[in-house]
Amino acid sequence: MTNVLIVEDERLASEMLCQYVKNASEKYTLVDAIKNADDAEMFCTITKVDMIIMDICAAGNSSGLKAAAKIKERFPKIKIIIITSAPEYRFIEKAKKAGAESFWYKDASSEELISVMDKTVAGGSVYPDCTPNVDFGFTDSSEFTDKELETLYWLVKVGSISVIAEKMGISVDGVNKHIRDLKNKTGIKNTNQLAIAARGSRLVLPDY
Amino acid sequence: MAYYNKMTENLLAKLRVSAMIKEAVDNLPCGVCFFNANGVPMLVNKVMHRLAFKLTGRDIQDISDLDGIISSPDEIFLEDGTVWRFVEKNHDKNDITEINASDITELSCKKRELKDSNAEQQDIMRRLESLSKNVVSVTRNEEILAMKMRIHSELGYALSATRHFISAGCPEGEKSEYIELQRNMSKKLIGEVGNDDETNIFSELTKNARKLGMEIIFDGELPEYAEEIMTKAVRECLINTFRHAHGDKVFVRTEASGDKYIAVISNNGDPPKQPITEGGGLSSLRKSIEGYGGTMTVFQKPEFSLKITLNEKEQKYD
Repeated sequence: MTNVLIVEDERLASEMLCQYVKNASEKYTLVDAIKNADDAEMFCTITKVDMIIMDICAAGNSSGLKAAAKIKERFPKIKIIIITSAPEYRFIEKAKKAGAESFWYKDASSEELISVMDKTVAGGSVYPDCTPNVDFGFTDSSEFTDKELETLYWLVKVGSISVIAEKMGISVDGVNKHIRDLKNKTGIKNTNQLAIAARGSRLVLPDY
Repeated sequence: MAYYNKMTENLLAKLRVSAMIKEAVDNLPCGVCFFNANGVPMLVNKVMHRLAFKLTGRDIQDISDLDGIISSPDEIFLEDGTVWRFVEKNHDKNDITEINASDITELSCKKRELKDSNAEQQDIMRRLESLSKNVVSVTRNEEILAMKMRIHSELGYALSATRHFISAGCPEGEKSEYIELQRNMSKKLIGEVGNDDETNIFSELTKNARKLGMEIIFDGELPEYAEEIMTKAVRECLINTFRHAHGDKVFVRTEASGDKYIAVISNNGDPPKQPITEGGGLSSLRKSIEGYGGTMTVFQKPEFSLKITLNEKEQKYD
């Protein structure tokens, strides 16, 4: 029997996940459904949890990725499936770094959650090949190079071009070139609008 | 006679050189003047004459005439809109003091533009920060919308099933499946898509602790600015109470006076048998509290307690 804890702050999504786990198979028992990712560690300490289905953007601005990393450090045997609907370009990489076994996009994954759960319990790891594309100005996120995505990330996080250059280890001219290329690709004319569009589309969410 | 002619020639040559030097210095775009050890001016160029006259209302008679100008802040603004910077240099070997004045009008203008632009940039960053916080609620609303659409399709399916049941009757083997479908649909519709998802993180923690057989006994107030840090602290204490002290109750006593907020957290578990070392949890908590401009003190005797002091005005994070 696998004891499953659900971390999901949106009530309807949480109810659907609970029902999903209850109906999925007799192999799974629902421990509870909570809203705040930071409370998950308390559940793992006090009660028996074998698997967590963990939303990234959870209640109280808590991060499912940060909570997962903390839980994996203390409870390496607990399996964690990260779930999200945000197409943030670093989430998959961050989930792997946090030690999560699997990753499931709520809207975009072709595989059913139960199949991901079964494979994860059996010792496997299921990750999507790539982040879903998101519309961005005249283009979509698949047109951006790694360096352009990184520039967008720092643009949202720190804003100042000189600090971005320092963080990326390149020259100010180099940063300006990436920004120019992003503007040309997207048709967005203003640097701040680029940052706002990156946040608004959830392509870049540095707080998680 | 030849000796006097030679001397006159030398003197004239020196005067010519002096005149050339004076002319060259006068043509400089900056102000220059030199004073001897007694403060008497030895050489003052035209620009410096003009500046001194504008600033003091008279010609330079002594180095002390420029005292007020040199000791004033870096930038000196003149009525004609130009900005100047005065710098004093002492040439110790010759007991000579040099004072230079540079026209920094353009530099000063650029500095002001940069300052304005930085202020504007900071304003934009603040707006971005606020947008970032809103993204979470936008995400939630998008997810609710997607959920509504899904429920709508399920409802359609349930209605079709009902029509089928009424018109053709429901086969015995499908009855339980049909009842389950109706039950699920009703549950979703009863709790319909009202957005009660705004969560108070401390009450959520209290509720979750109770589900796990733990209790938080809170005596005092919890102002909004202290909520995040207190939730983190009480959560850490709940975990440690269960893990190390084998207790099931955490007591929180708070006092607020002016901008100061003091909280003492203790528990009903066993007192610590060994000195407490601040591992991952407590040290991360200390970092967070100090990040908020607060302090954290751990007491071991007569029982474990954690004292947290926060100051509303000193908070480093918005």
